[in-house]
Amino acid sequence: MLVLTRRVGETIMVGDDIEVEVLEVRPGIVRLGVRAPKSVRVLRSELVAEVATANAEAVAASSPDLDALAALKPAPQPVSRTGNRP
Amino acid sequence: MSDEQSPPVITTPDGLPGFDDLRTWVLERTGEDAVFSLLRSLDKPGVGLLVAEPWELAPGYEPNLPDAEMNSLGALEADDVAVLVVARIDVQAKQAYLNLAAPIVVHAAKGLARQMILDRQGWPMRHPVALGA
Repeated sequence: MLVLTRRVGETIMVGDDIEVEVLEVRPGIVRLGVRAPKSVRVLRSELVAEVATANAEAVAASSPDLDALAALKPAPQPVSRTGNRP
Repeated sequence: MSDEQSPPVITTPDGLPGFDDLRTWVLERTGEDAVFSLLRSLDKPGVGLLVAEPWELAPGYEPNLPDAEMNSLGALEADDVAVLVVARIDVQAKQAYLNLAAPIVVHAAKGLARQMILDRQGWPMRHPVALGA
């Protein structure tokens, strides 16, 4: 792993068109800004891991009994957005 | 010979989170009017994800599909794709849990799909839906 020391306001370049800026440093917390082309997906790693876990759970629980699954009649449950939005 | 066509192969060029090396799948309906379908791996026998269309099950669900991810599917507009969500079913508790935070978006005409992680949109990863029988 490449290790760099940066101050607040300083940046690093990843490749030609991805720039990461250190915005704020507090004890235990660093805020980063990422400038990248829209085609580059930037996600917190733990979010990808959560989706992987949810997928794995769905597989572990998926019964091969398709006839039983076909008979399941779920009741609609409205959804609304929760916190953690920009 | 059966008159039913075998379902088309769907490719996930980037894999799916947790299944990075599984790339080819078929979407199988579990029954005539069934709500759940099985996205079955062609690369690894016995692996399948239960999926469902979210619109009737989760009224109010309005995912914002990121442009960059739509581009990588070759989809120009929302009408080009079908949205499926992964369902975990707890038969004993008669509950299904829908992952509304990471829909699997399928471009049927191109035979491509990807699971889009919707960061900071506020959709739950385990939306509970009661199951009757």
